[in-house]
Amino acid sequence: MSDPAIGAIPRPRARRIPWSASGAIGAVLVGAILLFVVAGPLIWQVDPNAQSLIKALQSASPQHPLGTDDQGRDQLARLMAGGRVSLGIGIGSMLIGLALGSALGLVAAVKRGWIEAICLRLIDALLALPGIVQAVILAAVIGRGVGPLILALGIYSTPIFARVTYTAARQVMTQDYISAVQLFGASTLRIVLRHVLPNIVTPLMAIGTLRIGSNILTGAALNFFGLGVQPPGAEWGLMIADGRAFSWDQPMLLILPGIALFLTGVGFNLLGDGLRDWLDPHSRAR
Amino acid sequence: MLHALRTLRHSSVSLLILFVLVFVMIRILPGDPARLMAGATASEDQIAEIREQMGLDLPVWGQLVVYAGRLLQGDLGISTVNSRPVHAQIIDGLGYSVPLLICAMALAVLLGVPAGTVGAVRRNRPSDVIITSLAVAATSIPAFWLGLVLIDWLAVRWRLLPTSGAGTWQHMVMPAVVLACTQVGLIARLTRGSVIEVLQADYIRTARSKGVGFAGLLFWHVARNAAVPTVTVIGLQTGMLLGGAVVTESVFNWPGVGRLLIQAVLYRDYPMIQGLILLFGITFVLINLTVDLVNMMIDPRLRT
Repeated sequence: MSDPAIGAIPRPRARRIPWSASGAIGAVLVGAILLFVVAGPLIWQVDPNAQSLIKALQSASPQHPLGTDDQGRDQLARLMAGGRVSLGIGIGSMLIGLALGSALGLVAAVKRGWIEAICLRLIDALLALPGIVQAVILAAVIGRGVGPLILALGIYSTPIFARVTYTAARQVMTQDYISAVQLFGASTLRIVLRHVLPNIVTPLMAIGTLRIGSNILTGAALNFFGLGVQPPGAEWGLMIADGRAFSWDQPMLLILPGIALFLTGVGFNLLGDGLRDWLDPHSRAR
Repeated sequence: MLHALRTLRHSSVSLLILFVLVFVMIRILPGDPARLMAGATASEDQIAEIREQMGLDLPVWGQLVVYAGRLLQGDLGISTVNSRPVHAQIIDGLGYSVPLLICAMALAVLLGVPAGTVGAVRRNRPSDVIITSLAVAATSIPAFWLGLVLIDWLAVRWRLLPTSGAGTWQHMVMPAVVLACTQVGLIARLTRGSVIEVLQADYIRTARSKGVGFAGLLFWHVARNAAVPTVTVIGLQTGMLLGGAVVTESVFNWPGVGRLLIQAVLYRDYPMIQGLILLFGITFVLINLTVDLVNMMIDPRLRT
């Protein structure tokens, strides 16, 4: 445990808390998936969009280790390409949510008064609809395609980051040492950069990791309904939608992208939980 | 009570802000609903006529005032896809969605709460590890994929259940299981967490040393104290279940409000989208209010 004199917010460096087994499993899973989608195409250099109708719906063979889809496209190459898009959607939208959310939360926490009230109302408005309904509506309003989808999921993720940032930043701002540096004439910007930001980075890291996983799953669902990536692009959710029609002949077309999504979801969930426990020992009771 | 009322006021204002934002954005962004409704072969005159009929020739704020006025009379407008009144379609959809949601939630609670309790009591033993792993797995399964896999095996290959649609109780089995699956993991994990916290409390040790039996301990001392966070989670998850219904209903072609939303979005049926935002938003607000009130009934400490 850290020195209690430091204050309510623990400093991670001072502690030596071992990683939980589940957190380690999550880290390994996420690492393996990243390796598969990033390094995989370097080893397996097959064009994921190369069609060949003579080779349609083949079973596993040395040329196509996971078989081919209805257009004769190599399923292994498509899984790698699709995973890159899925992960890109998850990470990109998380970063947008992180940037918008932490900015909104910080402004609300530092400015107070009517600016704070407006920011908080805006955050709440983004929480007014349950889960994926919000994402579907945003996708409908913003438009179709990968870019709009990432933006929609980013806005959808904004309130959680804003809430966490706001709570953590308020907690820091009420500490005595902030009043002390204010007395020494520190500017608001300096207080935010030097004192507030370092203290809110750790909770945001854990939330961010969890959010990548859930955004990949939500994004896949939206792609499945045709609200994101448009054919012939590969993405795991879209591949499930495509594989659905041919699952009688080639069930793997339906099964494999789903398992990839599932493992990615489990990986980021476990890694995020592990990070949270590691960075914030208060939550370890759970 | 004051807290519940404040939450109600806050969330109603939030919903109103969101609705106005979406209402305005739909009208600012490219894509003309009148042109869509008229079809590709329509002349400019016909499009102008439809625009006038739909009130789209007014400025945005004028349209908002007209919409609000009609809303007060229970009129949500007319679907641009099939020209049926939006409110009638929503009422039809609710007739299918509500039974499905109730079944799914009952299933998730009946599985999740006991599983979480067992996990907490047998903490870190094999049974707990299995329950916790299954809970994580259930949270990470993509619901639409699980639905398709179930359809493929249970319905198409083994012919045990109908593939999709509604009508008999057999139609409801797979959608309810898939919907429950998205919630059961979280309910189990949070029940486990709150039971563990209660089990470590001093009054539990006191009760034990008094000689209270294990069953009595669980029902009289643990259950009542662990109930507040659990009820909160179940309530919030009921809200999330509305979201899950969007995906699951579409996969199983279940004619509820969730499928209506996906169709409305795919066909850019803006009156329908607006009506559904109000429906989902108001339901969400009411669920959160109910959670607050139920918690106050369970825990007298919250009544102040």
